[in-house]
Amino acid sequence: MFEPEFLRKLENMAFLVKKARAGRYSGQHRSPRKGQSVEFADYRAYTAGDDWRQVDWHAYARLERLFIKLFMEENDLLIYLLVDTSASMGWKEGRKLKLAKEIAGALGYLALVNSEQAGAASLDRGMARFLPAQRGRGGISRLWGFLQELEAGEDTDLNTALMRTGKFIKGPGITILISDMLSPGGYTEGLKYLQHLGQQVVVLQILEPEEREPDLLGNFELVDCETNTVKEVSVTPLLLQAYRKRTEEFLHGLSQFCAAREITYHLISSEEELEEIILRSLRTLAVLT
Amino acid sequence: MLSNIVHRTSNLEVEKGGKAMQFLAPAGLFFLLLIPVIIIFYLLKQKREQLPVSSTMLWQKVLADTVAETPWQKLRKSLLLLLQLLLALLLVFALLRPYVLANRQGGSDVIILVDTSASMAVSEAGGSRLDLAKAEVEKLIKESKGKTRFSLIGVGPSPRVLANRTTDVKEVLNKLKTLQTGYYRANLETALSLAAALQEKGTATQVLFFSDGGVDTPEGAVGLEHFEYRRVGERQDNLAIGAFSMQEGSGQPLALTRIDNYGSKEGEGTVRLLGDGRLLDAQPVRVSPGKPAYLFWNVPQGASYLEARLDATDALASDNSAWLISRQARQAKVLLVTQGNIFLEQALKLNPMLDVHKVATGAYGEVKERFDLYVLDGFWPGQQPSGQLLVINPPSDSPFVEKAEGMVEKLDPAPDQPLLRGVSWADVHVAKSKGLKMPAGWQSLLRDGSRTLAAAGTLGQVRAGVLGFDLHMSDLPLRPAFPILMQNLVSWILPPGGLRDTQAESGGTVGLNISPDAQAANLYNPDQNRTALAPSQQKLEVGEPGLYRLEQVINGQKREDYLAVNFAPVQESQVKPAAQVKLGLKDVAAGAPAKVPQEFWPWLALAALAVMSVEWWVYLRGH
Repeated sequence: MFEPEFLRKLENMAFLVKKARAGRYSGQHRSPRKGQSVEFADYRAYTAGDDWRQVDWHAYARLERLFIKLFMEENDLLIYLLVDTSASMGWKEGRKLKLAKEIAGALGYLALVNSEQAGAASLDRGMARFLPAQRGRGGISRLWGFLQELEAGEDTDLNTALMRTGKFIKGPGITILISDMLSPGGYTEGLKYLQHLGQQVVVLQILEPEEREPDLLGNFELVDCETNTVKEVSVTPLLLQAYRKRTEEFLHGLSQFCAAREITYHLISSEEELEEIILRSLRTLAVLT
Repeated sequence: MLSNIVHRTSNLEVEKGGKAMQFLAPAGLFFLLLIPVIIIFYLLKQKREQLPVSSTMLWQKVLADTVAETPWQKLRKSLLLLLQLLLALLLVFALLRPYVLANRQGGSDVIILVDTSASMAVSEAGGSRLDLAKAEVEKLIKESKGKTRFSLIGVGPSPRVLANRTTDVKEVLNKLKTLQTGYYRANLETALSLAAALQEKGTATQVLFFSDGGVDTPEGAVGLEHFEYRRVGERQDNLAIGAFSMQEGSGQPLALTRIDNYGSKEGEGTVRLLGDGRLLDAQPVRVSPGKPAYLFWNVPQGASYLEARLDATDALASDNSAWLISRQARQAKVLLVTQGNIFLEQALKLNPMLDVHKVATGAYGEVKERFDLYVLDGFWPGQQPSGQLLVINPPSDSPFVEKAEGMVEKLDPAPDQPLLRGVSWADVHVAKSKGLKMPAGWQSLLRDGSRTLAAAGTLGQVRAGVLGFDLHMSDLPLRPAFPILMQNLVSWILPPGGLRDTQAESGGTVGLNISPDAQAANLYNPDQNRTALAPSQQKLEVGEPGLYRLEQVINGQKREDYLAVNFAPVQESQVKPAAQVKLGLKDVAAGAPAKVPQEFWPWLALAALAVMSVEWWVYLRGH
């Protein structure tokens, strides 16, 4: 699916978890790799029943009081890859969908080689299919196989589809939604729901250049490739200008929403190179390190 | 012209709220063919190219932004077609050049004609008719647009321009106040000619005529398009003295008065007869509409002038009095004393100013009356009569004869003698004649050598003319010279009055004949206002009806002549406001102001432009 050179570059990267989840999971789940996972976080007063081994004796020596050392527990990360497979993603020979699958494949690979878990799901009017979180290198081929089978089909309803991801997302992690976001029913409720599930949400929006700048002039019957509804349009420069303005408003609205909800948002043109996206853009966005 | 158009296009009239919309260019209907053409074009229009897009979501939002959702979604598809059809309809409508007849104040020029004829003096509620007209004009002027130019013309027998195309409203209003009624009939024709001359070519000039309609109207066409007749006044009850005359025969004079009723109800009043200003008689009178009442009066002898005065409450006062001058006052009484001279008698009777009485020489002693002129033919009474004298063939014992009768050899008329003006002595022969005395100051008219055959001069205050020969002994009476000579002599002996007529119409003119010898000539009008007249004055305009008195002082003697001026324009007594005024063949109805055609194609063109803009906008918005 990918060039070996690209995969090697990928292996040097890792997901950046934005929120430290100190205290919440401390002492409850052991990290599978102990030696590396202990990271000092805080102190708290000793109470009866605490593990003696975690008492900071140096502090006791200085202060003659018992303190428990708190450590941030490093769980393995859960990466959920949500790929929009609605018909609009398959428009123009499926360039958008192809890029979406490649991005998902690359990010999934990155997760699995870093010993983290990665799952994938396809979205259209609902959640069409999903691959539960995989672990280890063995999961790579299963993930890639799942992604390769995805095809564009139904119409889009992101809100509904995202609401249905509950059975797929089993725990907190990073959810990466790769979509053109052209959902007549909207997306805000769905994204809020993902955050409700404890997800660090990343929205990667893929648009064809022609979707932002249509190269049209004259009379057309525009056929929606999802709903097959026909819109008679006499495209004039003035109308194009209005369309462009409307599109920018739409994109601006999305980015504003994401910024307000601390959702990482990135707009990708379908013409961009995958390497460029993964190795540069996502890094600058602080999705990857 | 307008009426032609209206007639020609009447089949296209569209009644709308009482206002008839008509078309100046109905041929423009031809362009309606454009509409099927547009529809065919629309039907033949190429189908739109189908283009799959990822989502019409954004397009939908764009279109929703541009056109609000309406219940007529289906119509929106053909919105362009509808707009184009509307555009075509508007353009065709504009090409038809529709107009409505509107009540507006036409154009920037308004010519106001105000009737000042006698009937405008009718007393109406709140003043005279003229006052009502003035109030209406004032209202019109005050309500006008600022840039309206007004002309003001008083319509009388001849029009009077008071204001000429001025925007100065104050000036027009001031001039309006100076308008007064006269005792004449107004002539609309001359006023309209003047108005036509005043109006500027190319500007829509509105001509407003404020009147009761009683005017002389033009018989031909009038070159005014926008003429309106604004009727003024309501009253129609009017009694008038239609005729006043006197028959003076041998017996007692009899006067006749006719009272006309111009109203629609029976009228009553009292008629008084005054002689020389004193009340002589009075009679009540009842007059049915259209049925005149006649009153007869026995007039005592000797009255110089009579006045009939109708006392009644009616619309117009100035036609309720009439005057007449008795013949006694206007004719000179002449006594012809002769044994029979048909030539002389006829020559005297030719003069209407002479009231000739004849008496035989033997009966002269019985004449008690005093005459103005005594014509003595071959007779001398011994004592000089108390009047002026014309003596023909005086007897030898009269004071005029110097030499006894003798044969006449040659007639030698005096040259440049005014009394012989127009008298041709050729073919005139006189057989025998006496020679006349020539007292100092006398003028010889005709001589034969040293003998005077005819002379004229004064004896004290008496003027006298003398012919020294018997008319029967001459062929002079057979010649045209004779009546002329007699008139010349009589005119000199009895100077005619200073007025050529004794009756005149109000608002008319009378000829003056002021004596060259008059030291002073004054005219007293009915209000006893004096006007000094120059002897050279030939004509006099008289205004108000009444009795005028011309007083001349000639050689120290006062001479008075009377002039009866009666309310002349009989039609003016017909005070009922006319429903219409006839202009040539066209009747202009009153009350409802004539309507002015108002074209509005520029508005249609503007609307078409607006529709075109909307269409372009809709096109840009992608419908």
